[in-house]
Formats: sequence, structure tokens, C-alpha cells
Amino acid sequence: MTDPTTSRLLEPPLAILLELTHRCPLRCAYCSNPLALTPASAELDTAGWREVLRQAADMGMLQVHFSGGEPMARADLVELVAYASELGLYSNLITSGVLLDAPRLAALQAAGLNHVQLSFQGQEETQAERLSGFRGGGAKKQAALTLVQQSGLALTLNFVITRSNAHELDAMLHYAEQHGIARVEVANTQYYGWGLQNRAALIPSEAQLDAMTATVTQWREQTRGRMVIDYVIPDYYARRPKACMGGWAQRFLNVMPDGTLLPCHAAQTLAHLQFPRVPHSTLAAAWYDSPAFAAYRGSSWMPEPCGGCEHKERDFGGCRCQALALAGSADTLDPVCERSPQHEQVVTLARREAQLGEQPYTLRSFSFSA
Amino acid sequence: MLSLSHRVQLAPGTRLQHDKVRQRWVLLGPERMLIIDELARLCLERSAGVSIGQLCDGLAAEFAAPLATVQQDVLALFTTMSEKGFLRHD
Ligand code: SF4
Ligand code: SF4
Repeated sequence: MTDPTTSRLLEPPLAILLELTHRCPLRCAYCSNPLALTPASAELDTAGWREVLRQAADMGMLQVHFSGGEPMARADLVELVAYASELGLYSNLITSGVLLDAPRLAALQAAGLNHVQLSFQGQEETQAERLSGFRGGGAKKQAALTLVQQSGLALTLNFVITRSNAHELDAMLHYAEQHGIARVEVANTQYYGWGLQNRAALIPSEAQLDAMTATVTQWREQTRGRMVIDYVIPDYYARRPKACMGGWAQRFLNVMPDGTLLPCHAAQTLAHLQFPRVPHSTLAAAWYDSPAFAAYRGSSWMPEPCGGCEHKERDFGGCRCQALALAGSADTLDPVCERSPQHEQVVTLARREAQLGEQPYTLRSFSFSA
Repeated sequence: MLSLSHRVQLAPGTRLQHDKVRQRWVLLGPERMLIIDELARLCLERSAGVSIGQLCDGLAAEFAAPLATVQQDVLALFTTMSEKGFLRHD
């Protein structure tokens, strides 16, 4: 199997993310799950997920992320983690922590879980509750953090950043340091799914972004060798786009609760593509043979000005979903790129929205139909 | 700063794994992966329970390489790995 643009052998993905369920006790306004959430009745069953894991390991994938929704809402999570371990996969649990208790954590650890990523919506309780639509999350997350630390499992704190909590970043990093956390993600919300719906209420200003960058830089200096800080910015203010997922269908496979296979969690917005689904398709058939996965792989599909651009093998023209959302077409370059004719429009839009002050959120819900 | 008297070990949540399909060794951590060569793997495998200095002494003798160069290379390697969160030291 070769990639026509580079004639390199197409490798299997490195990692797979399982959206085990879209159910979640939280209702975060920035959630990147699609507006049309998958109902519980359409979720793959345990045997279905086991088969996905088996095929992933067979293909040569190395890491599995158990995500959602809230993966702990699945009763079979421990069984699936145990099976992943048996298959030699490195397993990561991406959780809000609110359903975590000592017995379940012990069971997950015994099942061979390698890492826990715990998300935080802010230090100020009212702000965090407004953003997540969930009361009392702060205490539950603190309890979850303590449990994970006592267990000795590796832990990453994921701080979700929006316009309304950007000023808390320093306090968040203090909190992480006080708890001796080895890895932190400072994750500005991304504008997909519910996050896109709520962009006008979420997007920070350039001044906030500059302040964040300064804070992160200072903390990185100060905690070098002790705490690793990963920093994700909202790229609307950037000059060049991000290489989404390391390039479309290059490294990563995402599985929706109903078994739909995607190159990235937001890709279902590309309605012109027919994404394969398990059990009807295998993972390998989707990866190597499906037109949907091939559609934007490599650089041969790229329009001008990307075609002759020196960055094309680095960012692959940016994010297809963002191109669709912002420029109206997935077949064009991501308009956050300064070479896009729509670039100024995007920056202006971001600047305008960032000035709006506190806005109401549309919290995530199952009843909303996209 | 890492020095020759430190001992290193893989950070919690990090593991060394043979990637069968791609025929190489990798360090796996949360949301990250580092492809490592034979020498890096050797350094990691032999670092258990000994100081970096002792590790280097052993490597220099075994490969008949100048000790100063080995020390420089190993410290640079371990520093990079530490800053990426793959290693802890005491
Ligand atoms: S972003 Fe919030 S609502 Fe969405 S899955 Fe995560 S915790 Fe649940
Ligand atoms: S022109 Fe295309 S390849 Fe070049 S930086 Fe912009 S998006 Fe990337």
C-alpha cells in the first residue's frame, strides 16, 4: 500500500481513540462530541469493542485511549482495559473523574491501565460549574485526583481553557505543582462539535492568549525536568494551521460509539465522505482501502497555495473540519493560514467574538438535533 | 540538571516496548511516543540501579570509546528524555 504523493509505505496508525459512549454526567459547552450525540442504544457492545481492540493490536497500533463522553459510564470499561493489556496495548483513560471511586480505580489498575488523564474546568467553582453544567464537580475531581495519586498510576491534569477562566491559568499551574503533578495539558478549547456551537462564548482574546503563553513559558522554565506542560492554543490567531492529528489518516484512528471509523473525532462533520463502520468494515480495510480515509491523505489533494508551499509536508493544509466550518469547503486550505484568502475574515471574527464578554452557553445535550 | 551521580528510571506511565510491526523500539507515554535507537535502548536497560556515571564507565569500556564523549552523549540523551517526561531521576 503506497501513498501516491510520497510513495512511502503507508504505515498503520500509532494510536486509536475509542469514544466508548457519548453519555456523560457533565454537559460541557466546549465538548468536541458531535451535536448529534450517539444514543446509548446505538453503542457497540462489549464483544464489538473487544473486536476493535483486537484488530487495532493486530494492525500494529501501540496506544489506546479510552474516551467518550465519559468512558467510566460504560459498565465494561474494566474488562476492555484488561483486554487491551492482554493485547500489549498502552492504555490511557480520559476522564472527568466524577464517576471514579476507589474500587473502580483499583479494578482498572489491576486490569493494567497505564495512565489517567483528568480534566478540570477551572479553579473557580461557579465558573467551572457554568462551563460544565455540573454541580459539585470540584470536590469530586479533587477526590479523584487524590485516589489516582494514592494508587501510584501515572496522571496528567488537563486544564480546559476558555475566555472565562484564562485568568486562572497561573492558579491552575500552582495547583498542579502543589500536587506534584508530572504532566499537565493546558488545553484551549477547540472549535468542533459543541465547542464550535459555543465559540462566541469561549474564544479568548489575543491579549489573553499572549498572557497564557507568557505564563506557560515561565512555568516551563521554572519546572523543567519536574513538570511537563503541553500547551494547545486556539489557532484562529496563528499564522499557520496545525497539522491536524499529524496529518489526515496518517497516525490516528478514532472510533465513534456506534463503531464509525474516523481519521479524527471531528471528521463526521465532513458529510460528503462515507466513513466505514465496524463490524461492516474492518479497521484495516478502513485504513488502507476506504476512499474516505484516502481523501485527504498526504499532499496530492492539496489546492493552491498549498501545492507549492514549503510547509505542506508539515501541516498538510491544516484541519479539514476547520476548513469546512470556516471556509465552507473541506477541499481548501484551513483558513487560519495567513495565505488563505479568508484568513483576515477568520481573525476578525475571532477578535469580534472575543470582545463579547460573558455569554450564555448552549450546554451539551442529547435532545439537540444538528 | 542531570549529572553523573544521578540515577534515572522510567517515569510512571512510561514503558519501553518493541514495536513489532515497524521493527523498532519505542518509549510509550501518555499522548507521546519516542522512537529510540539501539544505543538509547541499551542505556535505558542498563541504567537500572546504577548511577549515570557508572553506566558510562561500563559503556566506555565495552565499546572502547572515550569516556568524556560517552558521558556527554548519555547525559544529553537522558536530559532530553527527562524534559519530555519519560524519565525520573533521584
Ligand atoms: S467535554 Fe465534558 S461533556 Fe464532553 S465528554 Fe468531556 S466531560 Fe463530558
Ligand atoms: S499555504 Fe497550505 S501548506 Fe502552506 S502554510 Fe498555509 S495551509 Fe500550510
